[in-house]
Amino acid sequence: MRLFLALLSARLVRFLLRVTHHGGGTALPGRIALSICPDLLRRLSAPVKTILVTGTNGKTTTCRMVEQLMQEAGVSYFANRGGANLLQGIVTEFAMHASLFGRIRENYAVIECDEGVIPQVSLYTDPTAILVTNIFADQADRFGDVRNTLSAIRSGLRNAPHALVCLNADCSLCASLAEEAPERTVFFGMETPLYRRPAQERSDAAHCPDCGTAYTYELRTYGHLGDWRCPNCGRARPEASVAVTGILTRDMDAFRVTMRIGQDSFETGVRIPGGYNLYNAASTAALGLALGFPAEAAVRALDYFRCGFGRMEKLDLNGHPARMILVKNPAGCNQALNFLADLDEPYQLVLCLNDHTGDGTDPGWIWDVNFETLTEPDSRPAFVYCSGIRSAELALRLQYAGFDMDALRIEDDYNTIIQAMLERPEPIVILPSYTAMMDFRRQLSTSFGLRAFWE
Amino acid sequence: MTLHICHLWPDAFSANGSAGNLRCLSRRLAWRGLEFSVSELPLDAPDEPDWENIDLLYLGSGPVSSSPALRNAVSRLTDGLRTYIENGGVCLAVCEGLELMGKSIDLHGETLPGLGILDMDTVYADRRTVGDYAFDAGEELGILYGFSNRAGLLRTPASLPPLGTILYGTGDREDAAEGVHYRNLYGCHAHGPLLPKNPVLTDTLLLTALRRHDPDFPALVPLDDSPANNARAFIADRLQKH
Repeated sequence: MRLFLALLSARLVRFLLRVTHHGGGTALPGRIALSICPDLLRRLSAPVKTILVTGTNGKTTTCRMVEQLMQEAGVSYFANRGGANLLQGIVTEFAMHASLFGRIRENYAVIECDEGVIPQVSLYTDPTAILVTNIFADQADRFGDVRNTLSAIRSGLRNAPHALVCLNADCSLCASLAEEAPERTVFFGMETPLYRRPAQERSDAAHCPDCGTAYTYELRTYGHLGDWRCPNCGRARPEASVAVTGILTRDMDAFRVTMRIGQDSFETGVRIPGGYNLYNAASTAALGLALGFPAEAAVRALDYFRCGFGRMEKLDLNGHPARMILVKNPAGCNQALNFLADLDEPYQLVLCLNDHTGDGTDPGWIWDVNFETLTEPDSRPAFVYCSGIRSAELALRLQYAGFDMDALRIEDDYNTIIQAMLERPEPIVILPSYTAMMDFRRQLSTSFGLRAFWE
Repeated sequence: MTLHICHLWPDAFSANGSAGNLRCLSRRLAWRGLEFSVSELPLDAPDEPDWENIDLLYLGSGPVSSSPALRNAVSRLTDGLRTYIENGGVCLAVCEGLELMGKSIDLHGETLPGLGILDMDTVYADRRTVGDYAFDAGEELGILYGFSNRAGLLRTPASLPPLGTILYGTGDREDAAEGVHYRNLYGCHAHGPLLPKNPVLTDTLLLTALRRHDPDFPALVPLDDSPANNARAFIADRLQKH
């Protein structure tokens, strides 16, 4: 009875929120349902094979790739799109896919899960697999430092005694989690450089946690990722079962790569630009391997999937091409800049920084971003707009990076920015923080009729 | 004349945007055409730096733990650093960098010995203090703006002068003031870009260091600080509204 009431109210609340235009209704229905039936998630998820995707960067893109993988493998699934990756949002998603009696028809749930709530979500759902993309310094006001993120994910793995675990071999922090599930772990990684012009980036894990010696690298892809080894105690990158072994071609829209999946080698397209996304591609193939799906399903998935919400998302603004790349932390933002620096054509850049809870309230992280990458003559943007609540702080950062302040404007009105950019010929690249992306999309949907975000 | 900046333990303490402080120092020297060098002393450097040839020392923010590497590095530098500071060497230490200048850091029960330059101890609170803040650092430095994001609280005797008195937000000392100003050591808990937002403090550090070489060194050429002033005005406005 509690279950029935909980599910009924969740639906009602979501319906009311949507018809009254109070947004997507992604968290409140779950909160209400949980208050009526506290073990709702455990009961709903029991018959479902739950895949949890967590880590600092790449969760959403990876989930979209995994969705495509599910389609190519011909299994039924549902997923939490729209970025609602906290406990209440996840409960909402399960509740919306259940009948009023709590039955879910789909076999799999593809769940993006915030690092902070993985211990609980893992405990309630008894997941079939957990995929950890990477661990970087992120939102210091929430997580403190990387060690807190690492220990949260570690307890998530401890709460999931049956889960297959997919880990990034190139991330020394991530790889250390294999101790929790040595028999159930599949590693993925890179065996080729990702960028033509890799930037110098700060490392979030420079030292071996066992003996304090600085790691050395045979290959460093970005940040602290690569073929790491401790020269003192021998702690080293584990062998990866799935790896990108070579990049054959790359352009504004896609890659062709060679990938090893288990014992076999494949040539595949990856339909998203940005070198860092090859990690997400490899992780998806690793998940497929762990779940026993044919490798061909993963290869087709990578070639067919569509860029997610704000993740290298392609937009068409009345025929003017634009891309939106959500940036949330130094590592992710540096990869967006590496992508821009690799472009052969000129572009206009909009940076939007907010400091709400969803963005991280501490804007200091932009000083760990290597904006200097975009000051070389062949990589600099034709024009830059600084926007969002912390636009002044962005402009200050760019001044110290050595940007030409005559080709930079602080403008807080998104519509003014859009209109001014359409006057120029270059394609537009928008780099917003999370809530700034929401605001920007609202403006785009007013001006150009883009889809609402929860669809 | 070349101004020698030393970045202490950059591999462990340049997180949370605090690398922006170093960038600010070197950019402002470069914009004025002044010669400088930046050297880095990693945590596991076996030898002491050449203290005689350091004009400005910077120690930033990063997670502290009682790792053997940090304990060794701390005990290796204690004596040389004390002489440097007591002789009037210029130093900026922010966040955990400032905490390490004290006698000890209590990390929820586990105690990490500090460099012992300052007569103070740090105690870690369960809750972090997070948000924009402003403090009055006196006539010369004026109002300093920063973002605090810290667990550490400084336990200082009243005799250890603060860097400033709080105008908005919460100070990092038990006596509710902010930071430490001891000889030419300046320290506070502003997370990330303290110096870019406070060009007067930056130029004071630079000029103090330059005048230790040459007491007649002329005043620094003014720069275009309108971006910094915009950022300061934004924070001031927001703090006043709350």
